[in-house]
Amino acid sequence: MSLHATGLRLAYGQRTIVDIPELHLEPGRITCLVGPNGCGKSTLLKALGGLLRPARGEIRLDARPLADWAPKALARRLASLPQSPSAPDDIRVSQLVGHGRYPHQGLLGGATARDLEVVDWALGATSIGHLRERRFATLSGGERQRVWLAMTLAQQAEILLLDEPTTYMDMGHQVELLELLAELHRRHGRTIVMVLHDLNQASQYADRLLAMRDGRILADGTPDEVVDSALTERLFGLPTERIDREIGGRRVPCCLPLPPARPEPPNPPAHLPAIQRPSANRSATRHLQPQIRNPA
Amino acid sequence: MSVRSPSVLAVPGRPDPAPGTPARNGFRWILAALCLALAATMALSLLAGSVYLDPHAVYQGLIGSDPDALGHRLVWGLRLPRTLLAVLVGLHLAVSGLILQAVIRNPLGDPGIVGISSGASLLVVTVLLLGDLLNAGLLHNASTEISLAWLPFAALIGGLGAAGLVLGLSWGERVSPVRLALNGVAVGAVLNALVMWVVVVWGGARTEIALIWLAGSLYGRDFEHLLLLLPWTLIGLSAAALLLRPLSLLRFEDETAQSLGLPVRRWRLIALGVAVMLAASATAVAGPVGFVGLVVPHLARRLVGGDMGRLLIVTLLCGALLTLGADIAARTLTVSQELPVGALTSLIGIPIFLLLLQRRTRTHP
Repeated sequence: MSLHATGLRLAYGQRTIVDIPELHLEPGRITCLVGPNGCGKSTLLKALGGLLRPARGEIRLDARPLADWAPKALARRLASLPQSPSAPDDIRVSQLVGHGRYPHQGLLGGATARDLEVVDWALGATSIGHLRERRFATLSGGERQRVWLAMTLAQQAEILLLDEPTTYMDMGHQVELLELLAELHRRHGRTIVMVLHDLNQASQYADRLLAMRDGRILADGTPDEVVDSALTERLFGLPTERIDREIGGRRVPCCLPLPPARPEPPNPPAHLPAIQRPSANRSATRHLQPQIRNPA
Repeated sequence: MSVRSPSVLAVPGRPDPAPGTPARNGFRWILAALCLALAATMALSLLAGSVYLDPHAVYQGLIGSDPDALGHRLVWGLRLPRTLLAVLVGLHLAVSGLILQAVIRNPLGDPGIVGISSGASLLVVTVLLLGDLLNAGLLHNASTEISLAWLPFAALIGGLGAAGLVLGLSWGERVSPVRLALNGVAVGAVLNALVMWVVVVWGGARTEIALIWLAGSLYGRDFEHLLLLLPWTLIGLSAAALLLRPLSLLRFEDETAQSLGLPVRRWRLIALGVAVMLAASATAVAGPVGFVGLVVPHLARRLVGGDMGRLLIVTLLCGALLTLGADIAARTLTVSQELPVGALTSLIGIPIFLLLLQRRTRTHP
């Protein structure tokens, strides 16, 4: 019950996006992928979910390559939530969440009592039971994101791969959703692999951080081990100050940005005329302003 | 291990309404109203025409044993097959449009716009005229009639080819509505020009027949045509019923559908094949009847929302209703000569088409 990638190279056409010699994701843990935009974390997540065929190497689930799994059987084990997906116009929340039951259903026959029960549970778990009859198109961004998560939960897969599940959410909903994921992890032993934009949130919720840049893993370990100013500088070119917090008996690092050291602006070459001071400029044109405001 | 107690995380004190009771009742009412309307329209279709029959005459014609009575001849010879055919053609085109709109995730999905009708027309006209050509050129004495039963197959090949071309030209990240419409218009224009060329050059004595067929008409269709279409209806609707779940998912982006365990490419091809089959077979018997496939699914979505099963049933009924209604209007609006039903459905459909195109381009350029 683990995902294992070897000799992995992911590419769009000729352009290599991700190059990872070996990656093992243990069951029952929360792993967060962090890194700057375009570092390949979403691409890696897609490949882990079987949505992108590796250009080289392979990913195995239970020692069987993802490509050899029957699509529905794979979807019962592993649920992926792509980044901000779109839905058909007229669909209702309960219908959308019901689609999560697809891998458990045949081609014919209505939803079983079990399907309805699971959909109810997924709606309740994501606190959107009251939205069940609403049209999806009328929901706010944060509500939509929770609906998508409910659909993913309705799949009842033990591995959840989530690409920025907190996008479009306000802080309260972000924490609510991450707490929900933590609870799924604690109570049901779900394995969660997610891309998070916010390094501090990732540090707070992850058992393991994978820090990526330019398609490679720069750091891999518990947040306490890997997060520091050196890491944020390598990832984002941003020096930070690490402050440790105690949360639930765990030391959780929190990085606050420091103003980057500003290089001295170069002196202008001597032969160029000096730049006019803005203040002098303003006083020189002051008498023109009324005319500009009220053209005759 | 995937079976876990779903109640553990249930949030207490959040009352969930019983699943969809008001919606379900609403759906029953809509269904009942549509069935009633269809029955009434079918009855009207037996009464109305260039000669009005009163209900008694129709009734006598239907069950009467006198084969020479006017009622009997009109009902069994003309109006009953025509009525049933209008129903079948309408549901074929509407369901085809529903499938196309879901698969290409585009509100402009329509057998006409995607090119199925033009492609089917070209091959059907060719086959229609080929019979004459063979008789004239090769077998001077024989009266080889190319069997009507070949027409749906010819239409299918033409429809698949044209739809493949239009969709192939339009397929990008997703099918952009504007690109699809433009490609459809371009391919349609070329194909229609070819059709006219075939008719004019080879037409001879059958030019008029070909032209009437090309306008999309149910005139002069009898039980032979009905029986020709019926197997395709049965296969097409069964396939559509089996397609419901995959079709539901095909409306989402590829990655979403794939992560739910749907092999997207395979099902997309199957669904497109079913859509082409439904539209092409209808085109083979009635000619290109435009815009039913475009308008009806939108109407159905307005009525019942996004559930595919309900949409299929309502689309099917509305398609039949619209086409039958248009056909009744076509044969009663003008006294001496009847209008082709395709002209009427286009008359209704084109304004809606323009409205949709405008609204879409405003929100997604």
